[in-house]
Amino acid sequence: MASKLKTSIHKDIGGNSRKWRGFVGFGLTGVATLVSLGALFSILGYLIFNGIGAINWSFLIREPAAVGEPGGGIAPSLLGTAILVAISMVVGVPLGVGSGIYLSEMARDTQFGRVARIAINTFIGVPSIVIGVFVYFILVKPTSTFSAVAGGLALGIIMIPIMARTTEDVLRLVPHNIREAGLALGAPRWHVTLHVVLPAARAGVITGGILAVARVAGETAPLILTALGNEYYPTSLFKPIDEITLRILKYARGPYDVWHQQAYGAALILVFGVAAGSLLLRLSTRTQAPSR
Amino acid sequence: MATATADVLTSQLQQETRRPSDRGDRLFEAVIKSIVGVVLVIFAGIFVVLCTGAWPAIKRFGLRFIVDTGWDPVHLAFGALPFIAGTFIVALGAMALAGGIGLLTAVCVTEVLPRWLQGPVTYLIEMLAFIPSVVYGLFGLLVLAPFLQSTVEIWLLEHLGPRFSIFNGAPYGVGYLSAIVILAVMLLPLIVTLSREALILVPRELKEAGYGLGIDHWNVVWSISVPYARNGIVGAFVLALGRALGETIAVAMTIGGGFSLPHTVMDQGYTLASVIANEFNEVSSEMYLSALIYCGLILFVITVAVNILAYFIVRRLSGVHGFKA
Repeated sequence: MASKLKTSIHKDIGGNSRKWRGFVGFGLTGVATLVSLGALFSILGYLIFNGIGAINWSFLIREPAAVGEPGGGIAPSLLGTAILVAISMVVGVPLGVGSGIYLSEMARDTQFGRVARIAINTFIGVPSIVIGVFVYFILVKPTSTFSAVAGGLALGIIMIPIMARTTEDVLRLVPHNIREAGLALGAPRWHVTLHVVLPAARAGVITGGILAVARVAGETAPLILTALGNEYYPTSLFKPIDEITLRILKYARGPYDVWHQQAYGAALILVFGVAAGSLLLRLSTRTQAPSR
Repeated sequence: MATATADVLTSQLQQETRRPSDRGDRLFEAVIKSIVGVVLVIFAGIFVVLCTGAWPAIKRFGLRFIVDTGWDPVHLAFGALPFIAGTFIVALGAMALAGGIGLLTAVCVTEVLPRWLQGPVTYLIEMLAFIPSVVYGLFGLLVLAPFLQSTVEIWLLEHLGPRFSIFNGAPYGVGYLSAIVILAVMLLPLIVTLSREALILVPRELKEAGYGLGIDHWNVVWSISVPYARNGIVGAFVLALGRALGETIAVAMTIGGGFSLPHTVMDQGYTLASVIANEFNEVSSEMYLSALIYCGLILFVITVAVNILAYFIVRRLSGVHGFKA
């Protein structure tokens, strides 16, 4: 579309007026910006327009209705999402923050340091479906059941490099003389790291944590291979468990209009939750400049 | 560099006085290093598990798997070329769309919009990054694909179809075109924010020198700012490419599904990631499962290679222009 516009306008100019070229060029950047914003607004618009009708109290507290019937809700999916996110944090936060501390405070130009740095930066780019395959083989296949634990583990592994990178970034923003002051007072290195540097970067680490949670809460692909999803309230961590994106996937692909509307409703809740979280973050970090 | 000073300080301290805290420090370092060790083991473990899972297929099909077509679960004849081709077609198509629109948007946000609009517009575009991929899939499947089917695809078929065979396909709606468009929207925020960060770092003096020489605004942007920020923009594009190659669920929902090489932009097909997502719970035999894992292994190798490339590009320029991805 943009290129069509460009060629037609080029014909109009004929001559090579600099002023025209600038005008057209900046006009194009404006069109591109409108396209980008238009994509956002059309997605949000469709979600709100189609989804708001599905959201009511019973949608939030009921189990899914029988196939194709109206009514019913997504309560088990919301509960399952909370459980999966909790499990993922048990895995992702300590390993991620620990790795971040290493990259910021300890990694030197040794073989191990270099390998660790490249590996963690590459880890971020590993597609989540591949991590799903990994967990399928180490947990689902040996126990021969899909489970909440497997789903949470997959999400936790996805969280590790994200947490590590943000932790590294915010720890690096802590001014260096704070560390030196601690060391000069005779505090051991570990004490300075855990009780001076980490608290100074607390807001940033929490920000990174919430971003990582938001990221994994929207992951679907690895859960197909690990948590699987079902129609009921979770009863055990070692059985399949439902999750909100799995529910959206199922309803979006189903043949019923009721399902489509509920998929929009669930998507609206998910996007709204993630957006509200990010907005809170933005407001809370604005007052604390160093944590960015 | 900053830590280096502290390292010198601590090591000097440690040499002069062996204090009881040494044990605490060594313990702390051991704990942190073992955490990193666990992460490295997981990373290596992913590769090992993929290799062992794919081993039956590797043994049976060898490297031919990469160049063979045909996907026959009944006769157990598998070739992943259609998915490898699909992965690159979808990723590069989306990159072409998102790269152009994203770069122009980044220029608009940094050079054209008044200052009071820059922040809000950037924030709105960043919001695209917070939309989970299943929601993109939902929008792509229920809104975008029917829309493309009844408008763009019909137009392409009628006007370009007779002359170019790649537009001469059946307009299903779901298919390559829908997957490319939806993936492009997903890549936009990444490209816009990272390109913007690179463009912001262009020194003011450099641009002012341009104006001083009588160059107009538009040429300052394209001959001074963009070339100066080139490395950052390239880094943004490579990172986006890595994301595009691995995107799973939004593509799986919009590409339709198919096991042969595409002939037109409207064909249905699969990428490496989406074939795993859609077929994994349908596997009928161990060999089928193994062939899917082989696809996962190929995807892993491709994305790791792209991300190592991105790492080195970004690192090279982080020293020069302070760009951080």
